Amino acid sequence: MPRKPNGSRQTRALLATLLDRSQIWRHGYDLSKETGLGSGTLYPLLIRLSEQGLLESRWQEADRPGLPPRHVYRLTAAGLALAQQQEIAATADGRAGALA
Amino acid sequence: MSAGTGRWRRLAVRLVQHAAWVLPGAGTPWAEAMRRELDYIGDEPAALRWALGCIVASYRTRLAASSWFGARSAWRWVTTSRLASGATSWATSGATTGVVMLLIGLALQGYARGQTEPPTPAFPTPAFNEAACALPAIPPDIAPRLRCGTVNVPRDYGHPGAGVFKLAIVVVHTRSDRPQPDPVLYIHGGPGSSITASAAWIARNESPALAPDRDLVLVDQRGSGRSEPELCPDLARRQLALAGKKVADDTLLAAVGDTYRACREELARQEIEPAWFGTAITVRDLEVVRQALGFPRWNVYGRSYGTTVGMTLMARHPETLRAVVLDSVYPPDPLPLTRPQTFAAALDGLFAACHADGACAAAHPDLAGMLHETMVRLEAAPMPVTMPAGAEPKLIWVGPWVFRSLVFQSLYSRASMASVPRMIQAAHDGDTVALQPFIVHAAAQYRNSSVGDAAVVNCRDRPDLQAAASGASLADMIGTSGFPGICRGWTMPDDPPVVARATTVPTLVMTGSVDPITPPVFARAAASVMGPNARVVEFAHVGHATAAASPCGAELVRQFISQPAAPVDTGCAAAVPPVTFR
Repeated sequence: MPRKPNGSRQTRALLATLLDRSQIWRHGYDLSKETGLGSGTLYPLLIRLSEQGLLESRWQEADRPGLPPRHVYRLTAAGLALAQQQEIAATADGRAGALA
Repeated sequence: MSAGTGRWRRLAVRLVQHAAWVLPGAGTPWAEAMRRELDYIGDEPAALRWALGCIVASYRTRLAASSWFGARSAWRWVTTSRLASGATSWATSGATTGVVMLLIGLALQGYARGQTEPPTPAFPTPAFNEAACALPAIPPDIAPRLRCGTVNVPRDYGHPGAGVFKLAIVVVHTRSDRPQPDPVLYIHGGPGSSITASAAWIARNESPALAPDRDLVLVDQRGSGRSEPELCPDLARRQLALAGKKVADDTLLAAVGDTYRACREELARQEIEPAWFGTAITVRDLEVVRQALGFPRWNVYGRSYGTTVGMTLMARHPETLRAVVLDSVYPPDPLPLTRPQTFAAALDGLFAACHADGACAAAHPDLAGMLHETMVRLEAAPMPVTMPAGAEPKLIWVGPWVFRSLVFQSLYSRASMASVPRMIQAAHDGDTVALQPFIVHAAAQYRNSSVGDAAVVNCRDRPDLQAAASGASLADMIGTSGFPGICRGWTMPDDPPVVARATTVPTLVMTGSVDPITPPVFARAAASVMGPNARVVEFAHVGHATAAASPCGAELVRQFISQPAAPVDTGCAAAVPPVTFR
């Protein structure tokens, strides 16, 4: 049976986490803690979503002096649309727009 | 590596370097991304688990991208999560496996040689450069209490070596001879207003009322007040000048839109990047200021947009905060109500208050109806209001947009809301003489704010403003903030302000029941995110900025900052008397 692209449990968890605060750039380690996905699973997913144009990334300056910039991620418009579709499919009731 | 130098961490670093070796070419930024996260993982076993995962990730990605092994079975073996989870429990299970991992790490070390380290940014050491107070009209009794100076902050935190901005700082010393060690950082609103210019007034009035035994730290945020850079200093004056011509609102607003475009071009010529501004960046500046002044911890009193900065500071640097007062909370997008909605609610409050006041009700039996009629009249025929001699422009044409903005602004304080029925009556009757002082006052206030800073910060912070670019209705426009299309070509929203979730910092959230711009629903929404350490106090008959509006407001701030953990008796907040109309 062909698998639906981006339909795996891990991918869905990651998309839901990225959707939760979609305007905010997220760090890899935070995403790992929030989704419960280890770096070994997380980064291949991030790389794949990125290649599919669903995720954008950039380097963000550290908020403490002396530390190097970090790579941060957020959904693109296409990624947002996909994550929202997934969320609507997953829950019958819409969530109120939470403050960041 | 800056975070820790334990053996496991060194091994983790080597493992991640190996991962980088596995991911050449297009994978390099990803390898670097994984590597840098290590600096932010304080716990050594967690760092090691992270590093092992990175190796798995790198092989998975490399296999997915190439047909090295061809054999599907090999691919499946690597892509099952068994390896990742198996390896992590293996690595953390005991000393024997630890030694094995260490050997692997040592063996792998060679592969990473020749990788170039990314340059570590050079941050200027935070320093307070004291200077004479170049402030207007400082009375002799106040002068000894003011310490003035500047703190340099990087123009662009991404390139900290590429120049600095000087931020204007004034420390207002308490009159107490036994000051507490932790001062109060007073964060001004706007974005784009200034605070150091009010140092004398704050020293005389707010310092004894809000924090009698603590120093106050006043900082003009980058791009506003006396801090660098000046962002289109002429913008407010140019916009006011447009109201000197008799044109319909749509023409006027189109011309205002042109002033923003001209400002954007001016910044481009000066090579000032809009991406250097925004609440998150102001928060970084404040942290530099704290270090420069050498305070291990401080308190915050933030007002209006200053609460946006304060809440983001709580999220980013909670360890530096002893107690936080958020007065008239302006949360990040999405806001629970739009500005036309918050304005309408405050107007309803005004109508009810006038109705309940004997004299006001007698003079204006149908204030709501009169306001509506006034707007219709101004639409048909704007009113020319002559400005005092020497003022620019010489004349201001009051049409619906100008009048709506004037009423909105006048609902901010108890003092000015007391005159709003009279102001509506004046406009209704075409009495330009009675209207003049209100217009003069509002124009002066507008001229003194940095409209350029407001635009650059809001465009950076507020995705809703970007979204509103196309569909906003000019009939709903109030003032120039939220101007449709204002952010086009400025900057994309990024690194937006946040509300600290479940904060550990004791927080007092103050809100006015008839605030036209940040009503109680904003305060409650933000407080519900901040959790049980945030207490909300709602003041009856009070608009925007509650600490200054009543003795009760000031007293609650004073008590709370003095003893953040103690219960505060907020009973006086509900007992603030109704406004006396005049």
